[in-house]
Amino acid sequence: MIKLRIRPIVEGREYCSEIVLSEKPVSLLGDVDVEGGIVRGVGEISGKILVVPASVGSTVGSYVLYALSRNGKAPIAIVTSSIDPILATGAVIGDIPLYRLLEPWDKAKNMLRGVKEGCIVKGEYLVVG
Amino acid sequence: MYLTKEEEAMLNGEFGEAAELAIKVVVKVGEVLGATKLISVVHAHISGISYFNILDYGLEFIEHLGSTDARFRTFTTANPYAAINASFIGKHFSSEVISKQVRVVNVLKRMGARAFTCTPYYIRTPKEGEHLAWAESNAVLYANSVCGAKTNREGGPLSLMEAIIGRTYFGGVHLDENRVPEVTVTVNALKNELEVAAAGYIIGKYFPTTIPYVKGLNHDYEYYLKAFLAAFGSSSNSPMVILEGITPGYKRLLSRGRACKNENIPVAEIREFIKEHTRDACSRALYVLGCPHLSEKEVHDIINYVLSRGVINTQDKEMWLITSSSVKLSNDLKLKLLKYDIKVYEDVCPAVTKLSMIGVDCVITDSVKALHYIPKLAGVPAFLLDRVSIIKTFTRGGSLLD
Repeated sequence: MIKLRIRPIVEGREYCSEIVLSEKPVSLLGDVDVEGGIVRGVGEISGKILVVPASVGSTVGSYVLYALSRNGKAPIAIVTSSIDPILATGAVIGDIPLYRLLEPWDKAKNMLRGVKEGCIVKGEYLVVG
Repeated sequence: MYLTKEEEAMLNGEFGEAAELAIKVVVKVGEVLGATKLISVVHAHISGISYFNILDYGLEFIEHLGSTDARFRTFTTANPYAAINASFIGKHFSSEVISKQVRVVNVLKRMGARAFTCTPYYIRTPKEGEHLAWAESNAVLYANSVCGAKTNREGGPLSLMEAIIGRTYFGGVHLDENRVPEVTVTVNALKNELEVAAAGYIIGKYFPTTIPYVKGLNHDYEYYLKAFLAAFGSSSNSPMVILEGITPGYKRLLSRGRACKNENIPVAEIREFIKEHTRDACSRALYVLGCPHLSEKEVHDIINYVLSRGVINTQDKEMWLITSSSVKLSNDLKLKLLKYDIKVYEDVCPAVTKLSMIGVDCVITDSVKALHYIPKLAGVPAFLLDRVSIIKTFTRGGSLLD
């Protein structure tokens, strides 16, 4: 069992789900298909734990998280190394739990490659394996 | 985060549903960025209102907020919207697009938006030291760098939330210790608005996250500063430039800074950039002056110059002068300009408008900011040409003034 330390930014419940790992930053306006709940080049995110290094791009990006949420296509949680105002605003208005990853990104990325499922525990750990 | 009694009440829903959501968002974002309190702002400026950018989900979000009794709690302006009222050589936008953009604008008006422009500093010029919550990068840079006011570069929905609560988080360049330069950049011998703007764009590319101290910038005209800052804001995330001789208290800011590293942007590099992007024609070309919006003085200077010259028959091109409706122009004047195929559009922005939908093949402009955004957002290629050359393309010379 591997425990990755996280800190809640927008809090949510405890849950287990599939993990979707994006190894590169995601541009919310451009990379995300709102209707399908898909991050292009990464896969389906709806109902899953999305792990990304960062989000990048337009200030309109916040509206994309809101849209995913309204369509019922939002991830169940987002875990990320880098929290910026656009991502934080989107998570709050979309009511999507958001966690800051406290481990170094490269370490976390290597540990999560090929991992299918994980659990958010007490808002303090992402537990896998 | 420390909250006042009034702010606590907002958070508890005593000021309505919209204020409750808004303060929740602003506090959360502020906490993430390390702020310990909120601060009242005298002016909020909202971005992210073009229907082409926010689509149905942004429309729905703004309408949801507006369906409550939410009103802006401070003086509030918003960015220009998509140019849905525009036509290009006889082609118009569909009624569906028009009605959805109108819905966004109407909600913002109902909540108290006073103007729709990317130059809110012409609507209410900020005073030195005032705290603002502005989105729209060129306006943020102008407020901090030219007016000496204080604002971070806020995102789209965040600025909307800040307008609703009349506050922002106390962090970033609201704090004096963050208003310091980290590099000195010298630019000499720039001769027109294009060169000044290109210099801004190149400096932003070199220093995308730092506040530069810029020396030697040609500021013969106010709009040179506007063009410089708008271009800088297209390639940099920094909310401020410290301008020699212009930024209020620049000497004091320098004394606190770490701008010991000196960089020089050679004029040759700037001219090469312009040459690379210059084109004076394409089929079905739209010529745009007014990114950012033209000031009242610029509008009148351009119109006087146009009217001093003769009409030529252009057929496959139009020029749009883009400004805010706070600039008052008579219908008579607008009709005279139409003979030159020049239209005046107010409160809108061609860069956030899908110009490909109305048959525009390319945009030719004196704005480096437009050069950056038009291919990404408007769906057509863009090229540079200086202002005087653009006007000469639409007018016959040979008058006494030529």
